[in-house]
Amino acid sequence: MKGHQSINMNELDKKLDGPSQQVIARAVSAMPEEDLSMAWRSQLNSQILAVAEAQVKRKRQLNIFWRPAFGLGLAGAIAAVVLFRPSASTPVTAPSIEGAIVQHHREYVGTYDLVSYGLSPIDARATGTVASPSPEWNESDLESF
Amino acid sequence: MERIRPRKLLKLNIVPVLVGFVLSSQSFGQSKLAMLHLQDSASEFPALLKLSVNNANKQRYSGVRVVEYRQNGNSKRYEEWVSRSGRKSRVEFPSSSEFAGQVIVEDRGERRHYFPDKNEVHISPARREDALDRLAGMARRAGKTKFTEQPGETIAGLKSILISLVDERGSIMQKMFIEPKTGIVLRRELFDRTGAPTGSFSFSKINLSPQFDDRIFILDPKGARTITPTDRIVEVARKDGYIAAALSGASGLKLDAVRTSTLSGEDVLMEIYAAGRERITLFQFKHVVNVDSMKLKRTSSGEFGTHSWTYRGHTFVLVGGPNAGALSKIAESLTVISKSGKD
Repeated sequence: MKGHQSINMNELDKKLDGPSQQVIARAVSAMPEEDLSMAWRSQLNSQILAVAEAQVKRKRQLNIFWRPAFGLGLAGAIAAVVLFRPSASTPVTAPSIEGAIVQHHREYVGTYDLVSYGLSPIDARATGTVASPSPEWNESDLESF
Repeated sequence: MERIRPRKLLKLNIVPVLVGFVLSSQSFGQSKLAMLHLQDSASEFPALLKLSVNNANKQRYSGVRVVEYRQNGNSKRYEEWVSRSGRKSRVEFPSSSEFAGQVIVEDRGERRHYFPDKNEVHISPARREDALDRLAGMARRAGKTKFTEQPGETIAGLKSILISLVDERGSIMQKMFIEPKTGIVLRRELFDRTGAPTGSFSFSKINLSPQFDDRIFILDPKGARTITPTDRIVEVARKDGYIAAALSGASGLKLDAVRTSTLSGEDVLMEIYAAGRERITLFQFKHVVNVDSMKLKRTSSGEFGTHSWTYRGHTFVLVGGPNAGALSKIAESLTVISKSGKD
């Protein structure tokens, strides 16, 4: 296999050095060499510059919009965290039905213990109009006990 | 008899803790408490508190006490004229009071509350025995609770010893100013977990040698209608559209009081029961109210148990309870009341 490849390479070298290839080489060398015109180069430079400026302009325009927007967003987020941060001492929601149930029970039981034989909040109801009021007492009556 | 079985019996996690005695302020800091004599165990009940509990049935006095408490965000303050002889007590109110004319008498385990405007006597179980007895029991259970003792203020002309109930964080839950010879509690203050006072009473005048006729402890006004808590349930149910139902006494509960209220805009009928040293409240809403069982449990913070269910389009909620699972059992004892009593 290696012998077959080396034969092919040798044949190829011989073909490249052959007279037909030499003719083509001479023809290519004889071709006139043209310089690029200054006008074309200038035009090319102008176009490159215009494209570059357009890209910079577009980037600037985007920055004009996005930078303040990003700044405002960041400031807003910080303000929201500072202003609306849930505090341990401040309830953030109105008392729920569950909270009201538990609170009522806790308050009534607590005051029940407190007042014992006295008037408890569960019984507390202001006296309405009495048809025939009983004789009024005062503290001196109490002290006379 | 119609037995009401809740549709859903939820698994409960009722932790028996101090009911009604809540956590207190950091303002009473450790440095102040460090000066006090701390008892190492809740079972070590201060001798003076023992005296107060033991003498409760022997004390005889009359006086004026000022009661203050906070309820639904509002503070209430009123004056009571108190006469007491052992297990008997009588409470009246000054003529300037919004409760003028009402009389509350407790004797032989019964409480009678007279409303002159309606000429009604409301009857319920006596409550006097509860207060300090409950404190003793709760302190025994709440292992980390401690008592502190120090000289107290002079109240109504009497010197006092201050006994404070302190939780494991050192926050004061309750203060009791006790007259050392008689064990009479001259002032009592309760605090919530933020340290704010939730209620108190304090004697402004007291007479330890009162001269009164024991007939003042009989309350039987002529022509007055006698109303029991069960009667109140029937009356309120008929008037306001609730189901006339109560928890069975067979479950060891005594119906203590009945009241209507409004919770978060919802009308509710509240029935308060005594169960040994515990208090249990039954709430009944007139229609189905979305009560979140888990939220209810969270809100109670393990302080007491909660249980809710729906029956005949009404939502019922039980709060309180001595131990886990007890409330669901108690809920099963709910019984509709007939005109002649419970069915």
